[in-house]
Amino acid sequence: MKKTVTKAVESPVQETSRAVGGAEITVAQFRESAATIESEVGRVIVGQAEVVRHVLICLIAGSHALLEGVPGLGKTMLIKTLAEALELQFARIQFTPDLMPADIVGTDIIEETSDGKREFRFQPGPIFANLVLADEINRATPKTQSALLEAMQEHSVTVAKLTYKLEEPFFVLATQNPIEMEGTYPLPEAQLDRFLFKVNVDFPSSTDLVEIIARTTGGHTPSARKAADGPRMVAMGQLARQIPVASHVSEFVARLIVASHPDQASAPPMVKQFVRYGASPRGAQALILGAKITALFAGRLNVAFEDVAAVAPAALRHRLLLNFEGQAEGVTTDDVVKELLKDVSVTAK
Amino acid sequence: MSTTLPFQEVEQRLSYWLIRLRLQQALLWSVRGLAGGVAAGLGLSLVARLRPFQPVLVLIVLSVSLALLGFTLALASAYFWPRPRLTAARYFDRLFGLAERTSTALELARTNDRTPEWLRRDQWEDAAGAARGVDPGRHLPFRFDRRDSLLLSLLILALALSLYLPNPQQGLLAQQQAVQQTIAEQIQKIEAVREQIENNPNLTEEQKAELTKPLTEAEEQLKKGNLTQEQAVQILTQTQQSLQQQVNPNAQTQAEALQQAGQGLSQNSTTQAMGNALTQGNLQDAAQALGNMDLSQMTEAQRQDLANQLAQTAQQLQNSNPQLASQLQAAADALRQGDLNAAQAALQQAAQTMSQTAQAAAQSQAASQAAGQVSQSQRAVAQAGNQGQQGQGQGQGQGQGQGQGQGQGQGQGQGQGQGQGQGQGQSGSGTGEGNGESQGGEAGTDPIEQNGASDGGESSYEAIYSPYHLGGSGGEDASLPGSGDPNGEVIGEGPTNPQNAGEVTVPYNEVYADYNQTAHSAIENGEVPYNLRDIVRSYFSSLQP
Repeated sequence: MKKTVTKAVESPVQETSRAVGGAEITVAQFRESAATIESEVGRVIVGQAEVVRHVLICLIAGSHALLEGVPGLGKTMLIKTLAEALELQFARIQFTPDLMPADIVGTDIIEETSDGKREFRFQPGPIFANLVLADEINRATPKTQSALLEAMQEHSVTVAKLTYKLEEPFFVLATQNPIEMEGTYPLPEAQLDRFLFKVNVDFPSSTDLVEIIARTTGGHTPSARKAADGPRMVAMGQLARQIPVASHVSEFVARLIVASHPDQASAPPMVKQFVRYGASPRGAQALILGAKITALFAGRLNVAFEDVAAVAPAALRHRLLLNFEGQAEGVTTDDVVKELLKDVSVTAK
Repeated sequence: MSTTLPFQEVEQRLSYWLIRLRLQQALLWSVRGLAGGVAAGLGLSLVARLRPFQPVLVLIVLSVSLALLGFTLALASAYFWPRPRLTAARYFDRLFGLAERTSTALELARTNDRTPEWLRRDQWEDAAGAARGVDPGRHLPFRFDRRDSLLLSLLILALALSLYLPNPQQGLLAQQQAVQQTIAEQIQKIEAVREQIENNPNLTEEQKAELTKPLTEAEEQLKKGNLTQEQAVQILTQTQQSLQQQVNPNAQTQAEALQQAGQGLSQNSTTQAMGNALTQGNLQDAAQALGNMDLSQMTEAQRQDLANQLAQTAQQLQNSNPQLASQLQAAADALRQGDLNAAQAALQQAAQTMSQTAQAAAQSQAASQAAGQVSQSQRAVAQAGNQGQQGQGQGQGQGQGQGQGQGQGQGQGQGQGQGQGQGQGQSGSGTGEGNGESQGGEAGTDPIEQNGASDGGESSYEAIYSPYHLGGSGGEDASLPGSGDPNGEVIGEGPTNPQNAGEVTVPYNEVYADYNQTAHSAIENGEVPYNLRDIVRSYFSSLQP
């Protein structure tokens, strides 16, 4: 028998709906909040504007982001700074090979009551937070990695046949090292698909590096101030979801996803040659949702092709699975996405 | 769903852009349509250079018409081409960089989805604001495409050159048209001959049917159209041969003999009616008059006089019509013996024979006339269109003639058939070079008559196909006997002095057979054009000793 434990958190959806209906969250406020968050993050993080933008898109969409980059590029710092700026309950999980699922979701422990009786009490794990940093997620074994699956998809955790609802908003921001590095376990496709975006963190430019050195080696370490709270993030997400999408833009997204499958006639030659599996329908959802938020960032109340193109690499790169030939040839999924955008026409044939 | 002012503004701007797009596309495509029409005209003009097609004037009219048609069609099609507003909005979004604002605004107005009203209004305001910033004149300019204009200019130039430069097919076309026109004229003439035969009272129905059958068949074949000159000539030749077979030379000889005999008969009172009819060529009337003679009403002196006249006539007709002569002689003998019944019976038989002779002569005469008309038609068709070729041959003939024959002055007059025959005599010696100046005379006259002995005067010649050039440039060299060629055969000697009038020293009946055989060999070897073969045959037939 399942028991659901729900924490007393007021439904943010209802609140946001009222706010939108009452025009309390306007497009201007959306842009102002987003700009403030980016600005506060920018106080700590040097450069990486696109990374910050994409991570913020994931947070507004109420979904999860996977950041990939070599160690030392500030992935963890970025997420910690975001947590500071968003006034959310933050938890960090450092993934290691010996990390167990119970270390993430929590476990039942035996507790002795005042009258001497012993009973099980659920001890929540670090997953019970608004913003969870899964640091170096691919260093844990697949068994441990899969402990995040239910939380990420259902926003709930099941331990000992009891399901515990997670507090909204709930975001998982994971970092991982490139899989070529030693001591890493590739994330299973099912889990990869649950991340809205996979954001590549590139090495900073020399100008940014100079600024990083200046900020981190001085006497004063900058920190971010609170720019938004959980309800505001949910309201922003609700507003974004209402942005209209013209039918031909939706059709373009659908054609893009279909063309990413090598067995489809519309697939470009590169896809047919180097791709084993194409993007799932979650890819289309990620494209549209990301494009809507991007449109709002641009102050527009409709989705344009350029919005789709802007988020396509982040939304699709972890959803395309290259075949052996593709890997041997050194083709990246970003190359495939670029080819898809070039090959698939914005107008139906 | 209520539409608000911002959306109306979007709609108005979309309508304006759409009209501008239609005008711009109409302008753009009208040039392309014009180029397409000119290209089609150029295609026709090139076709007219490869084979006889249409005269230049018609080609010009066709080209201009095609160009105008292409221009109009392209203009109208481009302007009225169906452009749904939503499709147009999507196009303008891309063209003006509106980031799908207009198309989204249109879809929001058309669909009743869950988009809040305030969001619709804000989106329309956003779209209207973006639309205000568009400069359609920059994105949809009214100007011609440079490549299209260049292409059009090149096509017009090519068309003009194609129409202006001399076209060798035009001569052939004119010849074809002349042939077709001549065929049509000859059809009418043959029809007239056929009607004449059908209205001939001297012919029986069977004779009419027999005579008109080849004419009718010829008419039907000629009316099929698209006949070549050779085909038409062949049809007419076959018709003429068919008619010629119905010509009975004996019947005509008999009729002529009767006509001559009529003069004597007309001087006798008893046979005056018959004699007058015979003199006028009315054989049937004469036969009727002969059959109607009532011997019982005549006096004895008249009978004897009649007997003498009949005997004399019988003697005259003895060679040409023995049967009639013997019947007349029998009648004369019976009259002299006083046997009126036998004489009357003999006269009846003679009248019947004369009537049959009259019918046969009438059929033969009609067949001869018809054959003659068909022969004329055949010649007319064979010569049709040669005038055009004559004009071309004129230029060539002048060029060749300059180098030939100046100073020779005499010879056969057989240079190229395009010059003027000067000189006289038919000596077999000499090379035949230099027949005076070549001028390319008028065509259309009978080549047989004009190919006769040259008398020094000007006469017109057709351009006759000549595989061997005597002395002139081009073609194979051919030598006449006595010109120094060891292979030549000397068949006679004649004076070669230009001052001498010339004299034939070999009877032509001795050389006729060789010439005739040579001519027939040439015909069989294909060295004589088809339409001239019958002429050559007729010529040698007429010379048959």
